[in-house]
Amino acid sequence: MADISMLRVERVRPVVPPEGLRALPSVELNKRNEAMLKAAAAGSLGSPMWRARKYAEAREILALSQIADRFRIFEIRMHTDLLAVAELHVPVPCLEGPDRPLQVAPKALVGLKYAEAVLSEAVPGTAFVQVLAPMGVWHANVARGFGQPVCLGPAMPLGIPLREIVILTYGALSMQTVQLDPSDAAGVLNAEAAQYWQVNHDRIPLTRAAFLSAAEG
Amino acid sequence: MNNVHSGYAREVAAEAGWQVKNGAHRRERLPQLVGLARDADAELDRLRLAIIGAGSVGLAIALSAARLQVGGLLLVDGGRYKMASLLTHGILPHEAAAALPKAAHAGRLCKQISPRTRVFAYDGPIQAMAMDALVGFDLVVLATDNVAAEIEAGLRCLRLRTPLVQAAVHGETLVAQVRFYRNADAGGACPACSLNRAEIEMLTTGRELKCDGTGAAPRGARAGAVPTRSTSCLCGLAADLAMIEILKYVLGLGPWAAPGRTSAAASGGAAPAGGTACGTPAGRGGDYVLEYAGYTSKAVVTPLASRASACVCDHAATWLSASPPRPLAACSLSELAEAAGPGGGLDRAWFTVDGMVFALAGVCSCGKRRRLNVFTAPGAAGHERCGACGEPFCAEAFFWRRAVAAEELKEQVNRPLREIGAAGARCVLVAGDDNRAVLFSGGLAGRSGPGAMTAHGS
Ligand SMILES: [Zn+2]
Ligand SMILES: [Zn+2]
Repeated sequence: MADISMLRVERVRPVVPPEGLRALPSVELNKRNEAMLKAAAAGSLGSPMWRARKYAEAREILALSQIADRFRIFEIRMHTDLLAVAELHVPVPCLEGPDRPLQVAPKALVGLKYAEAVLSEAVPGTAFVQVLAPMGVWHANVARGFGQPVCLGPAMPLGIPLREIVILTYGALSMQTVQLDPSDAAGVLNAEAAQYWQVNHDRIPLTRAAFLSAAEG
Repeated sequence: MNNVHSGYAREVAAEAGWQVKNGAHRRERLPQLVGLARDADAELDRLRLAIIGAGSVGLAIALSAARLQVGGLLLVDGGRYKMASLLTHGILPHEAAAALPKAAHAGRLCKQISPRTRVFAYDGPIQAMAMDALVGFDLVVLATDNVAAEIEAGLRCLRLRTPLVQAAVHGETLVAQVRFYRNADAGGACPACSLNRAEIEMLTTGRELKCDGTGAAPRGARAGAVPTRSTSCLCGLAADLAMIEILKYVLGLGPWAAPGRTSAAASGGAAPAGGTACGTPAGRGGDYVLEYAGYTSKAVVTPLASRASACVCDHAATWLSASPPRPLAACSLSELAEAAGPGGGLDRAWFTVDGMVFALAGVCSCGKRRRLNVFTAPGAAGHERCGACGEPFCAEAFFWRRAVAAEELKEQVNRPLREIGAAGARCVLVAGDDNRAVLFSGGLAGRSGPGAMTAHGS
């Protein structure tokens, strides 16, 4: 993966089509995204079925990034697994230390990983997304350390599309959907944070803005 | 004694007290089978059977195979006896009470019955075995009600093009069933072909999540936790029916008596033509299901439908087994690719080192990242430590690859495996664009695994 700090992309405000997500198949990729898809596809390996699937999933999230102001893709790879480095405009709660105040970062750099196993089994909800930055995420469903994997649920449906993973991640990080019960194995990766947010439940969700709404700032 | 971690079965040693000097030989009881055109002794001496599931049905099949004094047996089961096992398994009360591991115990019994058979036992699920664990077996028997194990065994047999015989019971209707998956090509059926999406999704419910992204317990680890209700006689019947189908296949009897066939084990065998003289209708690739219905006292044979288009298993991929040109740890992946000749050449090759991941980067406790570019266990700590927090850089899921492309390996593709963290590699899969992959086995299979019976000498 490229050095994260070196990624700079000029911003064009996307326009949400009236049909919303249903418009994805008809969204024509812009030149930058078309080139990114082509470059990634050149290195794509695996069975013809898996290569076709990776291409279709990658195309769809690139199209999503063109209609969703809150979602931008910096890099895509598809040698074996399908991987993407993307930015999500979503409030991310962070705690640098036990005695430090809670801070809310305006966006997250996430790593998306879509492995072939998704075609043949219900893959655990921790296997798809990592918060690459900021560090110190303080969230019940994000592990402290280990590269901060995000738990989207105990097991994702067979063949879940990658665009669904993106939208679920937005819901999880913004705490529009959150699992705070540490006694339930289905999702809590940071029990201390779960307790913190149970006490401070009046602060959640961190935003009520929908995924397709315009990003702040 | 625990052999689960290694991913390979342990060979069962003959117990001194049970060594009978002039023991019986199968020739003393094996009948003059009508139509037999092969050397039955040679075929059975050569035969290597792997049995997945050593419960009521699998144990009976194993004992039957031991009484035929087959060449080799592998028993795979992660379970232990319960007191209720006494009701369906061919075991004694003290064995049930001692909660003996099923595979190890079945292995011990088989070795006592047939000291000349090489017997291997694995006390874990098939999903935890090394990628090459079933290499070298002529036929795999599936005798488990764990759907995840069924899918896994089916997939492994498809890849290795090894025939699979599944024995099952339906206690409530007194039905015993045997399915024969020929696996001659990509067009045949597999155990997963008959499962729908909901059934497959159900396999993974209730898995324990791990923070480090290494996933969870093997899929379906909890599936099959409710014991199947059946009777000892029905389980025994399913086992005996399966064993008769196996005998017919191995000795070329009945529908398998195709002219010009010499050895099922050696030639890989041609399937009998559909609707044969002996009455076993063979579907494409010879797949069929034999069902005995207790209520009507009738046995029916029907062809199995060919591969379901929606099957979650990839039927097209084939894995060839090979020995590495030098000890595996001394080989580079480019060297293995050259030996394998993957479709598309090195540029289009990808590699899987069994049980390991290739970590492009690792992260420490304070969140700093560092390039690693080595093979490691998923989530394992590296040697280097962070200058700020003093903690090691651990491999993290987004930056690791279970299957890694030559392009991502960069210069590491030319370095010996032992220099890039994979000194202990048990086997390496080299795949290419043509659905064909080559599985190179390492030292472990040669020493203690079933592979000892094949490519690695015996
Ligand atoms: Zn199938
Ligand atoms: Zn550090």
